[in-house]
Amino acid sequence: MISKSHLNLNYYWRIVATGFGFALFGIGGLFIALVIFPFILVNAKSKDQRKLKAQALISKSFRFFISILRSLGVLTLTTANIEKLKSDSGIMVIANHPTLLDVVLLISYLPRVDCVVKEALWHNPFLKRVVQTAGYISNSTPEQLLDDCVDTLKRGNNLLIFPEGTRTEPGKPEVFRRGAANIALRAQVAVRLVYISCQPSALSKSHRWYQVPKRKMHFTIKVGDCLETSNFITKNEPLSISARRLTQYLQKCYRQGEVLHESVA
Amino acid sequence: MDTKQAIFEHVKTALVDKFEVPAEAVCLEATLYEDLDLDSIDAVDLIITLQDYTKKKIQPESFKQVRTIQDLIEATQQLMDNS
Repeated sequence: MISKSHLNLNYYWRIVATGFGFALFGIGGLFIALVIFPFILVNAKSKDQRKLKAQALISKSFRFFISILRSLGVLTLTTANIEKLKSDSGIMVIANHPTLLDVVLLISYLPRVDCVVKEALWHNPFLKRVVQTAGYISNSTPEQLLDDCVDTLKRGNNLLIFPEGTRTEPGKPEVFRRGAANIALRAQVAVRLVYISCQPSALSKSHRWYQVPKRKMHFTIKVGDCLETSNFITKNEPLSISARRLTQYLQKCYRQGEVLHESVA
Repeated sequence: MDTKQAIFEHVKTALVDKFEVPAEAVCLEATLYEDLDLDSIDAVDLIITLQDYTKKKIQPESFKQVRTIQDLIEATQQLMDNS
């Protein structure tokens, strides 16, 4: 039987380990950006080559970071169909957004993916080169964002988007904005549905970093359908209506926790 | 029918047909983003339909301040008067 003091000890250990995780992410990220990053780019000739190498490095670094969190006992993780993500190309990956770690978790399984990053990082002297080289997309203006997202998908890159635009409020149903659907329809690409859950809830919008849950966080990442979006485009209706239909459909799937309808292609 | 009324009718039709806004929700005081649940992509689409209607090139900046249907109609009217 696990004694109460043992549980307490584990709880305080996880606060310390979580704090260490945050520090490591900052310091490690800086080290990778300044030391390893220039090194791996030495032999990359073209812009596309540099982009691929940069994204692969970020993916590997995130994978390493998650493995440290796991071995420190901050979290446990189970996945379903995760290998599907590796072979995807030219598609949009969408997910719900319960925690701060979602983007790190997903990119750790996506060696090649673009994502939308705060404009502020383009002015950050340390990270500017990383986000530029990786070809990430800035959220400067909505019009530019839409064009850039459509453009990268049309060139065959993958794109990771959280359709809620921000982290989900714990205990509330997901509210999808229509940007993701608009991008997918305009770029005419399929959408890969990924469902993330974190039990008990932590690192959400309403938690501070040190408010670790009583039990260890357990993450589940379920990779679901690869949805063809062309069925949502009709001759008689404008794209604005199609985007609404697609958004409603996706939101329903996530609210019901049903991201997997068919045997995954 | 005066110009403002005509613009209003045009905007209303566009909102109902393209953006699934319930017809009864369209009034002068209604805000585009909050009350009518449009997003920035819809706003661009809406400007394009007004461009077709007025046969004038619209600079998105001149519509940056637009919050309500009333603002939208006035900005459009100004555009038509300006040349």
